[in-house]
Amino acid sequence: MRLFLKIFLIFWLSNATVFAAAFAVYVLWERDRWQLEEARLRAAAEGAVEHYESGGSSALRDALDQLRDELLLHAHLQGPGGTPLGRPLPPALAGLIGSELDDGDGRASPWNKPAGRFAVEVLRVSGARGDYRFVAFREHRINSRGGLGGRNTGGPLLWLLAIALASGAIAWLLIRPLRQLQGATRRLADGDLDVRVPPRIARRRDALGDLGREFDRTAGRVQALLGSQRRLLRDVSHELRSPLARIQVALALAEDRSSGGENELARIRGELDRLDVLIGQVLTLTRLDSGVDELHLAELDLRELLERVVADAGYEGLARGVSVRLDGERWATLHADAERLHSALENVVRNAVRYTAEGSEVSIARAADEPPGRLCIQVRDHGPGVPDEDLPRLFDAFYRSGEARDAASGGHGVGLAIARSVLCAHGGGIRAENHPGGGLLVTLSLPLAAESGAARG
Amino acid sequence: MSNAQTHQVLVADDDAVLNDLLTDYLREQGFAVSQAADGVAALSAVAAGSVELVVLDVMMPGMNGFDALREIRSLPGPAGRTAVLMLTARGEDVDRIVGLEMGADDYLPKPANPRELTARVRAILRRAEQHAAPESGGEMLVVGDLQLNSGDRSVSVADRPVALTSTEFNLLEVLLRAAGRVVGKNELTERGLGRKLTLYDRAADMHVSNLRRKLGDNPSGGQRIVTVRGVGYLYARPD
Repeated sequence: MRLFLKIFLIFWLSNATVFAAAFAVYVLWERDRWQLEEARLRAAAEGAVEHYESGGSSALRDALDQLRDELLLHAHLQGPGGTPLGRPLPPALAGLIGSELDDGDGRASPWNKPAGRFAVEVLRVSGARGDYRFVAFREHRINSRGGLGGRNTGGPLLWLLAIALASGAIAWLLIRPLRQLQGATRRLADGDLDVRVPPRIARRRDALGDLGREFDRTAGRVQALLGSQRRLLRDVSHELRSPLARIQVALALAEDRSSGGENELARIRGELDRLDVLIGQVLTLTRLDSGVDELHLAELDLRELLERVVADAGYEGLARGVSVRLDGERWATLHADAERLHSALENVVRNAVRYTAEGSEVSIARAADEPPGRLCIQVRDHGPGVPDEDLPRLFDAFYRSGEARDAASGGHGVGLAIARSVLCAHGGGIRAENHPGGGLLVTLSLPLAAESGAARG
Repeated sequence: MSNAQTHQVLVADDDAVLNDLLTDYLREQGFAVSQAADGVAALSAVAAGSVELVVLDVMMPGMNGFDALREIRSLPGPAGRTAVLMLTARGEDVDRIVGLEMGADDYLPKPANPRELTARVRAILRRAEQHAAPESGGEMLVVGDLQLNSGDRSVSVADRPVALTSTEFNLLEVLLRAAGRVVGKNELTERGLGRKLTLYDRAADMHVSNLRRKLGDNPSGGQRIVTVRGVGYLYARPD
């Protein structure tokens, strides 16, 4: 909006300045012209009176004819009491001007009385033998003063308003495609790789059109690159499963047949199981991200789901003395994919159990300050937290912050990425922050649009 | 029954090396093992009638595991009730859901730990054996409009027969015997599926949801099998 205002003001001010300058020049020029016209008219009137007084009607007619031929001025002279001198007013003109002729006041602004297609001016002239009225006609078009503003003081204001409207329109036309480009860029940055600029921008033949097409090209390239990266990850994981399955069975055979060396075999078993979990997670993630599977949405009791996750994770935490607590009674019924949501929650909670300090507690609660229409689940651990600069990347696959990188923690950095994919697929989101009181606070938000029976639980 | 302990297991997987390894392993565990390289071979082996349990891989060329399972379930007679353990692709949740919905007795994600595989195979076979024993002395369980005959292992709702897989039947039997009382998920898995509940194990839930779908609602419109949050399931007695 600020950019819009800026552009609008620049356009408006520059146009208004140009307009004001043009108007000033016009006014000055017009004033000069008026003075000139006035002088010429008065000279003509005085000349006519002079001719009449010295040479009578015929001299007056000659003088008036000369005015008509040289100055395109149809003039008549009336004596005291309105008697026409020289020649009478043509009836057509007389009818046109009617009684207006009486108002002649000799103002210094000629041609101010339009009458049909003629402009009329009446001058009082004092001669040696009395007062005369000099009536002059001119074809209207010669007097073009009706054009710009005239003496209507509302004119300039209207023009400034018109300029404002035009400036606003120009600013909007410039800003709108920029806004759309900005929106597209933001969505791309947020991970929506399908985003493209609106066709209206892509079709433009100007610099904005170029920018729009470049954006599309960039987005397409990013999408293709990420797509091939994911495909590679998926294909590699797929291919790894066959040998892994064979090794599993071969190892089991070896374990059953061996009499000694169980230590090594057990170690192989441990690593193999790890590899197994990792490949499974990668495949889950690539399937989620590729969107091949539709969500199986159904009514889902969130409390039941959470209790199951808590029970399972609590069991896992036993070894390290970690307890998992589910707070609050206000758990809603959601419209969601139970399997997927379970795996998302499971991954977040297990992650918390893994990183929380030995003997500490992981708590799950509904957030106190939810945005309208959202349900927010908060999972908090009492671990070391994550450096602030690493927080945005926490949900990227295979990303683990430096402190979490030690093998002892046993994570693979895929679980949180799975959680994010699941929540995004549900139209929700996930974010992490360091709790002021220590530990990591992960907030999972889900749309509450289909919430029903919130009172349950 | 001279060979009471030697169960006939068919391993159906297109990976020949894995097939051989699994065959070796299961033989060492005391099973009589035959192999099938694809769904068609598996189906014809089951139709021939000697197989008690099929370890069926989902991903096979030609007729895949799901197709083979559907064909097996539509076989007439006891061959149609042959126990099936599906090996589903890991990371593909849909596979195991679909497998269980189509009447597999259990599933394991592949690559599976062979010990776990053996345990599940044993559990399924033990269940089938226990239930096959009281052939004549069948007991009739009646709750509301639902009748369960443990003799010929048939179930009917309002005198309309309902086709259940062996596992679904077992779970329903456990729930009916405890009708009106909550059966924990642990107990349900142990008694119905014949094995321990594992971490993040949802097989019992899937079978229960199959049962709900197949049995329909109560005549009064309520759910027959009620989920008791965080505890387990309950077969509701009509009041």
